[in-house]
Amino acid sequence: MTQLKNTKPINLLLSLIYLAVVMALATELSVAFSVLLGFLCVWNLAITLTNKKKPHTILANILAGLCLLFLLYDVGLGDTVTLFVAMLILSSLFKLLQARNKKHYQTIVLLSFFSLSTVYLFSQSLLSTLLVSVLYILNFAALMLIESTHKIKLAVKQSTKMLALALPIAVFLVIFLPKLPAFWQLPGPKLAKTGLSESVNPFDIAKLSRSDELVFRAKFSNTNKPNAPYYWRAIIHDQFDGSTWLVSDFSKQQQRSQIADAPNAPLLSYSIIAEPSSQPWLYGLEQAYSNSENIKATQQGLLIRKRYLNNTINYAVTSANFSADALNISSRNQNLQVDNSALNNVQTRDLAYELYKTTNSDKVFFNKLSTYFLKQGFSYTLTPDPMTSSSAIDEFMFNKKRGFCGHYASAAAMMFRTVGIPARVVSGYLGGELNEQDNYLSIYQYDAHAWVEVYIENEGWQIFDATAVVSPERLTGSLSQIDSLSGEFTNNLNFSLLRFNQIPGFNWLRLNLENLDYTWTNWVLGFDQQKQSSLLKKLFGANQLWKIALFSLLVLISIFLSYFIYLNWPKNTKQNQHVMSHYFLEITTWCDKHGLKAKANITPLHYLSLAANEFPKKAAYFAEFASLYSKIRYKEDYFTSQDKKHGRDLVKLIKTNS
Amino acid sequence: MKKIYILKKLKNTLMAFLLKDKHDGSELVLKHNTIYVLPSKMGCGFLTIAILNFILGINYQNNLILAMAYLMFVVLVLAILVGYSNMNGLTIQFKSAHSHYSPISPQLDFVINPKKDCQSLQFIYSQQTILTQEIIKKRTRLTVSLPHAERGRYAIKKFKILSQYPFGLVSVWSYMNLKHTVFVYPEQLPPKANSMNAINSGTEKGNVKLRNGTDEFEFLAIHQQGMSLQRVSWKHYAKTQQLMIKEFEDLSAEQRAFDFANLMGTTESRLSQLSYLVTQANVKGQAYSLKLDGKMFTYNKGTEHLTTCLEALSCYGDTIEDTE
Repeated sequence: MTQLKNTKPINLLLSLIYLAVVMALATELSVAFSVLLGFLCVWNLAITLTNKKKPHTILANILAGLCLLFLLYDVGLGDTVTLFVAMLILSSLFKLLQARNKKHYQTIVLLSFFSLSTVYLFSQSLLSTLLVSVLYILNFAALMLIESTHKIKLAVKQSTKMLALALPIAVFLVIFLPKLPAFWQLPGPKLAKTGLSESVNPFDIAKLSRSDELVFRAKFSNTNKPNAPYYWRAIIHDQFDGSTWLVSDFSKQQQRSQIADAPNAPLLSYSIIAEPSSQPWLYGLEQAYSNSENIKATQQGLLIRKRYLNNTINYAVTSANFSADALNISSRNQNLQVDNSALNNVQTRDLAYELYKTTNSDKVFFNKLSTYFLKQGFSYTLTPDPMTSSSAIDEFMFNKKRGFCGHYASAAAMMFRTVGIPARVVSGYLGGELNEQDNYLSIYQYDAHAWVEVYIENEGWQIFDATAVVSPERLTGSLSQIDSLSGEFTNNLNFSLLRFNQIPGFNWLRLNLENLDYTWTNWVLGFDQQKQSSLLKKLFGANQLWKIALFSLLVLISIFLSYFIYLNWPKNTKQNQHVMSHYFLEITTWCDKHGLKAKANITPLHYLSLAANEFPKKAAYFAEFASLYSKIRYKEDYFTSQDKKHGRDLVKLIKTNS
Repeated sequence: MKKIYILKKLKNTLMAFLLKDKHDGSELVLKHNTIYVLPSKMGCGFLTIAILNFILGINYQNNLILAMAYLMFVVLVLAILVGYSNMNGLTIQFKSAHSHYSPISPQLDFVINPKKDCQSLQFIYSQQTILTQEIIKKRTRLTVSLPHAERGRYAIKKFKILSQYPFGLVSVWSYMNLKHTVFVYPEQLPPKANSMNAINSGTEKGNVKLRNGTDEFEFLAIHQQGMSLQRVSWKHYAKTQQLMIKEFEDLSAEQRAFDFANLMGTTESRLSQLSYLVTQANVKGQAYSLKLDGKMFTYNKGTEHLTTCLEALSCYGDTIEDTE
């Protein structure tokens, strides 16, 4: 098998590529496994840098087997995509640790072309795209190093050149080649993302950890923008077990089978670009409906992804008011269900009965409860005390009186149900940060919210949000913009630019990056079949398929043809001339001007000695130049940049110092 | 066995038909009708990965993966263009062939004249890479050694001149069909002691008149280490303090007859001994004859005679020469 001479730079490049890939995927893998992969990269890097021998094949194979067992234990068979990616990277790394000949290295480089693509399964942000692009360049450089003994720098330069030419063509192809529908259903990777949960139990949480991860963006048309507050509904929890609110089997059944018809009187329409998520729940206002092919719209006005959790999804939504139709019996029963244990939360139940007794009307009770929360000294906090007793709601309502949305929603929904008013907890997001330039809302993970929907006879479902009563600022805009909570809020965030919100420069930077990301998501990631066909329609008119095909073909052919002509264009001979010859030519023209007459066919050294005689003042320079010339041109010494400078200086001295 | 033979023959006929005689002759200019381009094995692997990426991109409706797949296709096309241009305009001239004694392989001299820089040029001969040249910027002389180390006569087979620049994804190649023969002469082995007698006796039988000039030496030569002291001219030494050797006519220009049949050992060993004797005789300027089974090469001197004899030794035992 062919041995390679420059294994060192190849190993260096490949180790770095895999180190970067492992770091990019670290959030999706467990810490232990990421560390293991990182260690393998560093091991290979260390072997390369210290010129040590690669580990013995048997040792490496045993280690690989152990690592595979660990991987199976760590990731499990459930998450096939992550398992596959992890196995791919693991095997590539062990192959690298054992690679000895040309064929091995070629296999690894080929595998890494695939490994690099898998990074996009988990993250498609601008940042990871930049990272992967750089890694692509390095991978091509490694491929080049396998074929020739270039230096790393030269190989990277050449592969950058090649990709700089190829990338625009590839982008052109993405835009103009017709997009095919998916061939078959593949499992999506399970993303390690925070997000809404199907169960709401706020009472044992001491610190609401919040992330500044983007959840989705909503773009309204300029004319038809609804007023705040925006309650983005995602999940309905209609089952209460005394402490936790869950999605009932009844609802799940409904969501699986029934799909709603388009509402009769849509109030507003808008589009949403949702980020990848680990949950199928999507977002909409009130009774939302979408006819996008990847989305199910449920009877309750929720939107659910059909597939591909890992993808950014772009959909158009129409929203209508909740219908005032009467609830059917089974829905009604589901929304009245309270846990059976009469011993729990007795105080709160008694309070509910008492408030209801004096009114006997659902609507009045609704208002009375609002007033109760307002008057009784409740406050909003992100760091509540944990309440762990079996009567946690009692503890919250009468002792602590501090909590976040989950506490208020949980308590209020239970009280409504106690007095026989159908109610359910809804979780989703509240508000959003408005980008005035492009008129879209960005909704982040820290905007997550829970509230109550109450069914009032003849009016339909109504939003009851005790949090809003306690902390009214929460209703307008995003949580990030509430001054009173900013300290508490930023303390709960992981490190991010949001921490520096108060510094104007940083906020400007953050908003601009945010804008860039919006454009990226909207135009690059969201460029789907629909967008493509509307773009092509704009450019070529409707039903002009042959025009598009002809145009694409002509563009491709002309690009390749002109590149081919450029490659085969005869090189300019002047470029080939040695710098020293060029200097010599300068000297002869100068000498000619100053009256040196020499025969045409004498050697340069002879000419220089003649010139030295003719201009005795500069004889030393001529002699020095002659020695430099003979060293470079005749002895074929290596031409250093120092020599070049020296030559140039001599030419200058000869020409100027008259 | 026969099937394989037929297939091989069919392949050769097909190749001959396709290539016609464009690649014959000692000078080859690489241009559109003499350059062949196909994806290499690595290129096929690359294409497979590109298709996998394409399927991944389509199925996950992921524009970025799709763009990467297209990027790989485009790079493959560009690699073909760059690879072709790398070889285009290259002139390859065959200069000369040098036969050597076994185990040194015969060598061929080429002069390569590129139109522009030519990278990663390989010479492939009967499926072995025998030379890799990193970069050729100007007119360059290249010497390649053929992978033949055994005694024999070899008709030079078709050369493949290949470059997989820039990424090893495409093979760009051409052929050079030299109608030349090279020899690997038998290794030189000094004859065994009792063989010497046979040779010496052969000398007498050879019907050559030996001049009896034991005293009438022709000229004096400077004594060199290891020479016998018997022939030192002591008279000369007394005069000039310099050791001189009397070179006699009959020693320097002795005529010798070498016969395969008179030597001891296996066929190969006998050939090796003859190779040694013939070469030594040539060095000493002696005339010699060589008898090889049925063939007889009469007394002669000179490089040409030596070459004829060595070539005869190289082909010894060859049946019908295969002229592939």
